[in-house]
Amino acid sequence: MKRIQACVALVALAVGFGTALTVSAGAQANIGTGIGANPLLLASRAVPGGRYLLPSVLVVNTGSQASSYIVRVKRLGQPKGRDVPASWIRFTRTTVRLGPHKRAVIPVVLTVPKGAAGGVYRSNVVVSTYTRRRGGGAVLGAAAADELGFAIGHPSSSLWSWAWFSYLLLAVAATSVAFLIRRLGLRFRIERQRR
Amino acid sequence: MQIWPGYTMRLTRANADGSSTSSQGFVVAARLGLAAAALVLLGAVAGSASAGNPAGLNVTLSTVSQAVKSVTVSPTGINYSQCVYGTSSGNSLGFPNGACLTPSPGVTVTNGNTPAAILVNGADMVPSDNGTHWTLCQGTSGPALCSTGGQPTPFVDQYYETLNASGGYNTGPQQGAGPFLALANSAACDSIINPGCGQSMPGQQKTEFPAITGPSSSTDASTAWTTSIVWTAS
Repeated sequence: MKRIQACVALVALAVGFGTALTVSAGAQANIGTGIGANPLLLASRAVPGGRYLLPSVLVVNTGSQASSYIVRVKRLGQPKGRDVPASWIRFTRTTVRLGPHKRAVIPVVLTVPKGAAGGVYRSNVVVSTYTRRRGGGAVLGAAAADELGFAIGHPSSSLWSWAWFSYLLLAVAATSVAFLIRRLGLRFRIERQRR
Repeated sequence: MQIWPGYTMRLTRANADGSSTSSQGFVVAARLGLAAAALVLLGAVAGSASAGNPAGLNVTLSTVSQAVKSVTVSPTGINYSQCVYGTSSGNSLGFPNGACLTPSPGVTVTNGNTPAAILVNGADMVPSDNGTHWTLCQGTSGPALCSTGGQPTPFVDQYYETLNASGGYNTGPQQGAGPFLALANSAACDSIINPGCGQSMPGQQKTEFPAITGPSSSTDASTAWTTSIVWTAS
């Protein structure tokens, strides 16, 4: 009889310990989102019709459970400048699932349409947890945002860019050298020697 | 000068009488040019020879990790409960303008290791049949009014959702201690974690209590409704 009582007590203790562990783990569960703190800015001036590689987005799961993330362009607040159309920005992945404390790097490409207006463009890249709606209550989410910005030069300014002008200089220099050689009467001649 | 067995390159300059003479200076320049070309050729040959018998050198480089702006939220979801006013009963919101709260321990919001502005936004309350949503209203001032004065009393298909630091209901005679931050669909500064609305310090943490006051009446008859609250580190 004493042996049975001891067994029951042990089982009860194990169940109680397991329940406490589960409750404790549930209480500590959290979701977290991190993003690289460096803003996504294009160093050079973009031109309409151009395609540019922006700095990649670093996504970090700072939570204690695996989470799915959505990456998108969304303007937060009212930064100065034109709004960045979401269709100009392409992420190699718009969703990513990460385990606790894991990270992913997502390359970003900016494609400026040919008819784009010149000026400064500003927006944000937002990474947020994605959780399916439950049957009641409020789903809580975590997100992180980086600045996104670039400037588009006036279309006519590209015609007078340094690269175009440098070609003109080279052509003028080559013509001048040819003219000088002809003027000095210089001749290069390769002769075969007779034996 | 001889450039290949049997071949000679000659640099000449035409004289006024039509005859031509070799210029010593130009010959020297041409020899120098040929020597440079030979050196380039030798370098290329040496390079191709070494390519056939490669010697490897492993180069490694460590960089500091990029700073990360982040926010964590615990728990991952809440159920509004202890509803009062109107026809409310237990954890079920009643009409008109029933109110529910989030019991302790509330929601813990923690800024990560880098200073960041913490923003927060709410969303529509969506019925289980995906019918007519309840939209958020922001008290007695702002673009989406809950009422024209006094306590917020959301109109048909509106609701008032807030955060505060001490819990309790957000309207009526049982209202908890303010200040209350009214949520909107667009992200705005979380003045509960940082009343000054500046950047939160690394590791800064706050317990926040969401609460709601429901509409005067609902077009949709669903009994299960869902919304979301998202905190953003910016």
